[in-house]
Amino acid sequence: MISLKQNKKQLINIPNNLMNTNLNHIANFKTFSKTENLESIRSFVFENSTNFGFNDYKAEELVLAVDEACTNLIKHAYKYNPDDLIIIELKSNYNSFIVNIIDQSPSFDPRSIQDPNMIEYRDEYKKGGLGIFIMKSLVDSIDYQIINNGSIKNILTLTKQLS
Amino acid sequence: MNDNLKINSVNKQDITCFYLAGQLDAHSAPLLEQEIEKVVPINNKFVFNLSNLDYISSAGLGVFMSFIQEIRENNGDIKFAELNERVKNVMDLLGFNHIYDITETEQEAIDKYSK
Repeated sequence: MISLKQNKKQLINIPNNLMNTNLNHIANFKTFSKTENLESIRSFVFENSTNFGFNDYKAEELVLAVDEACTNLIKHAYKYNPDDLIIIELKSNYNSFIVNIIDQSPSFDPRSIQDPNMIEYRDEYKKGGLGIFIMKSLVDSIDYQIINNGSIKNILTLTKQLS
Repeated sequence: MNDNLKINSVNKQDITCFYLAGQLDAHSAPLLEQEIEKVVPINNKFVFNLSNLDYISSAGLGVFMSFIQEIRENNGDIKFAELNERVKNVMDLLGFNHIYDITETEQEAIDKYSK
């Protein structure tokens, strides 16, 4: 009985798009948290998403969303510490392309950030804060989970449908 | 180190034209910031020719946002020309077309300063 309860609890933490069974692993990429590695992260996502079937335009949208997520990690979560790690996991589920961006920083859920008011933004010439807005605009769904097994692991999941 | 972005600049009349080639992301943004910082005390009319810029992220766009207020307060401006479709899509998504003059050709951008 107790173990059933635990299983159920674990399942609750799994994002909806990972509940289905037809999840295929595509590729993994592990890199240090440095801005100079953004280019290879982009190439990795572009290559694998076009292989999956996205046209260049859609693949570039996904690439930009992943870049914005990783840039936020490098700058804000890891505060430019080059020894920290970013892991990118690519998976597919039917016609969904799933990008898991995994880090071990203090947790931050980007979904909690409100979209910027663009009129206010341009009138006040604000700088920054646009990355999350870009990310939300270019993928179909964003999930975020924190796994704490003694050490913290955050998984940001960006999903884009092949339409 | 910042080998993913090349920056050249040429003065045309009283306008500084910047030519960006490559990728403007969180890695190369500080380099662009330094280059603009060098010129801002001397000039305040800028055209950025982006015909060879393949990629831009919000970190790159943030560089322009950080200078525009000061530049406009000194009666200057930043105008963009010759964007490829990829860069234009990102700028449109963020409404940059409402904040900045974006022209098809560099000459059009230069001409806008004399109007």
